[in-house]
Amino acid sequence: MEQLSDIPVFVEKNYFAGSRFDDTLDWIEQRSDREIHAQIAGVLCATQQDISVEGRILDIRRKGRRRIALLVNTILKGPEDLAGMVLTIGSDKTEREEVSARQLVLMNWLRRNIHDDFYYDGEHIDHAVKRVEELILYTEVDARIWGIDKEGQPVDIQGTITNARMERLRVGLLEIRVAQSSAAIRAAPEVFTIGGRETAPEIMRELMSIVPDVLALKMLFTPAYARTRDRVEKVIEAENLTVTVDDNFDIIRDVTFSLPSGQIMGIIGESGSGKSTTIRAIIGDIIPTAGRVRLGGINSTQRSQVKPIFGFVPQDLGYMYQNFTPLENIIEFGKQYGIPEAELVRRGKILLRELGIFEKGNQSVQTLSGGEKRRSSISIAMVHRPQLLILDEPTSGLDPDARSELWDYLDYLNREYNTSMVVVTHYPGEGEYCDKVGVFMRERSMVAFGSPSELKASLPGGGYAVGIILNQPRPGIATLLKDVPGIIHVLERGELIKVFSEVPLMEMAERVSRAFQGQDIGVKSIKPKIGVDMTDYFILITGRQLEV
Amino acid sequence: MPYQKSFGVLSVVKRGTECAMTVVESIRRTLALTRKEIQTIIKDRTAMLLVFMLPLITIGTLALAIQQNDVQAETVPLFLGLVDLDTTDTYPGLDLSENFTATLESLDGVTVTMYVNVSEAYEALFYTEIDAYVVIPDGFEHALSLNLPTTVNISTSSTQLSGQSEAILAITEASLIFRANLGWIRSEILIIPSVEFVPEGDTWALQVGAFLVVFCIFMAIALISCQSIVGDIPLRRMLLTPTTKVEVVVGKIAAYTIIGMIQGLLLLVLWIIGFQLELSTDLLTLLVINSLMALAGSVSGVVISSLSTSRLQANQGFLFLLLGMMVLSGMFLDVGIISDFLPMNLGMALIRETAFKGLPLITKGPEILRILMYIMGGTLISMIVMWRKRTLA
Repeated sequence: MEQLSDIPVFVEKNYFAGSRFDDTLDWIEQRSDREIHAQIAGVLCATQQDISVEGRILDIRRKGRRRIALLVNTILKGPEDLAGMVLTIGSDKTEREEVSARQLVLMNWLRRNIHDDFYYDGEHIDHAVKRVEELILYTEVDARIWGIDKEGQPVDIQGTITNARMERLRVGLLEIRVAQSSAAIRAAPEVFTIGGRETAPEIMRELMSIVPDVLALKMLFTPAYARTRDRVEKVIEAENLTVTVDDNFDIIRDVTFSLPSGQIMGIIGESGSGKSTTIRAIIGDIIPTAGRVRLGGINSTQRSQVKPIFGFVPQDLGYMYQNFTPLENIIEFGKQYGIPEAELVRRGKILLRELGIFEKGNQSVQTLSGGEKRRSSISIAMVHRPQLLILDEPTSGLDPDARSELWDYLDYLNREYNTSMVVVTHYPGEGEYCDKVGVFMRERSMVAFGSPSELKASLPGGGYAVGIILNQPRPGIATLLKDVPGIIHVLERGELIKVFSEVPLMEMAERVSRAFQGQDIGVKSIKPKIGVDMTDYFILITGRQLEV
Repeated sequence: MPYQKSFGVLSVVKRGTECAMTVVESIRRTLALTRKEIQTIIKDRTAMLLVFMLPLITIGTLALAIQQNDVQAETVPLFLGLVDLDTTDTYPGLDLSENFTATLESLDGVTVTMYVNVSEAYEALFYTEIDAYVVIPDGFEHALSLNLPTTVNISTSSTQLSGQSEAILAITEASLIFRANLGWIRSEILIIPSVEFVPEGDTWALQVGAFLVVFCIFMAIALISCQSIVGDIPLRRMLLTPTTKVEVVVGKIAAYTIIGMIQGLLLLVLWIIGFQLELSTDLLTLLVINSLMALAGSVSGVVISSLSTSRLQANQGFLFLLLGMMVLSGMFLDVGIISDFLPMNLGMALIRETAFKGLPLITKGPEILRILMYIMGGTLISMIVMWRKRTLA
């Protein structure tokens, strides 16, 4: 269940009075693929009690019955037992819906609605049956039904759909294996038959031999592949993670970090520094010698539960079926998550379009360019809408433009799907694209973790340095400057020299300028304050240069 | 002009030298590639081991088969049925048909069972109680006593290939001893062989066709499925999805079995229609045998594939299977008890027993059970090996 704390920093917000209900419905319909939340103040029609609730909009109806179906997350005012329920909201004049709305504050969370649960009113059970009938061929479907039992008492049952069928005269009937039910029917049989609200028992009796146990008023369905969609505050929590090999050599030692949901983490480090081992421990592929990792709130040693939470994009582009098209690859990998093929095709097309390879969707993978293959690989890993996408050196082998373009795509997916990401990279500069960066060193595991600005601020000068631009590169300039008082580090990057110091940078610039006087060095300019990037940070902290 | 001439000669020499250099360089590059290739093979230690194991195992298999054959010849007797229809008594003091029967019984390793009539002997042959039956015709003694040629009929089963030749050899030997013992017989005893339980159609097409159908289904599927795991590079990525390794093994086996069944159906249709055969069983029985062979072939290939760490190793593994199954198929020499456990041999036995003799499949429960045990064993091995394999991450 989403919490108010999940609300993104930027949302599109609009206020509607209950009398402008048609405008409200228009506003929602125009954003039909977005995740829309609402705060609704109104009156419970049954008891005339004032309520104010917050929740996610599941469905709207505009023809005939005009209403919003809201999955309630938070009760701001009113009975506490409304939490987790679906409420039908009508205008301020409605008497038919559960809530007559006075005020509606709608919030577009500016991201794709990736929730796979779906709602039907009891009167539309035939539509629900049709949809569920197809779904249960592929996957389990959980349902929560609010309705009335044979004695006319209200019931609230939760369970798994065991059967969905159309009876004569297109009357839909569901069978549900009950996991939890309200007190009134606790003693009832394990499997319930569910009929529609508009189908009176007398008619049912005439039409078929079965009289439904419950006549549904509201139905909320959740396919099994959507069960892992519950968001947690921290998608990864690694505590004192240590992996030791046979000869008591720690590949990683005491690695501790956490990644808040929706953020991108970059892992920078040399070969053999434990990056891959950390990734393997995160996804439960190896059991840590000490410490633990929780992925999406689940201990990663529970592999079967953890697998749907993440998607993995390998570095090697050969890990796709080369004679399949990208869409066929998406379907074949996606089917393993129990997602119906029609849904995979729909999602696959959206992803391919978003990643700019829609036109290539029907070409075999082997005919695609490196960048296109990489994006195909990402779309395969994204099709089950994982909470966490892990990418192993996605930009290696790409030219700077293509790297920048790929990061744009990753940024888009991060925002659009609210997917957290872990990106292993050899380019320290790519840490700038990330919310958090973990720096790994050989034999020392993770030596630093934080946001790029935090990491850079930890350097002498608080993220700034004195910049010296030479006419041409001059190796060994650091030796010349080493006697200048106050200098902590000198970083040579071609013609650009960066001087790090705790001394005020203006004063440091003057000292450097004086040091150059009388020397045969062509200095183009000296800038007292220039920014430090993640490449500088990596070189300074590791003492090694990976890629400049 | 002389300059030009000499320049021309130089040019030709230069061109010739360049050409020779090109050839030398090409040879050098080729040698470097050869060296690299040998190094690649040498570095794959398992593949190298298999290179030397292959001849050892092949020859070992052959030796085992021959040993089985020898053991068979020494210890397992030839069971012959005998129907003595001779009522003539023209040679004073000796019943020649009885004397012929006694000669037959005296042969090493031959056990003779007497039957009153041909139908009883035929039934015994049908249920494999005997390997062949001999019919001494009426007038046998009369013809011999008048020094006229006579005949002895020997009927063998189409389903027992090795038994056929052994029975004919035994009767020929008995005939020679019989004539030598009596001395005075100058006329010939003609041995007339016949093969029972042969459906309508070309005998060669039947016998070889049955072998080829089983062999092709089993081997063709084993050939393609032996690359199914080792050659499936994206499989390691697939294992990061909720798919389990057990599901992978079962999925692979099922997929190749389906392909094998379709291929087998085509083979069966071509075999039956192409040679205008009228088999003694229905299509459903043949399809069940076809499916069992496809399943066994698929399992064999998947086992090889899961054990291999490179495509080269998988190819070598398949070669083992091919040679082993060929040598031990029973088509070339009797392999004794081994035949009762190898799926291809069991499949061929099932085809002959059902399609030739017309026995219902339900009577072949033990054979089917043994094939299923092979399938289950292979599947289990694949699963255990797969369980130890790493995923992609």
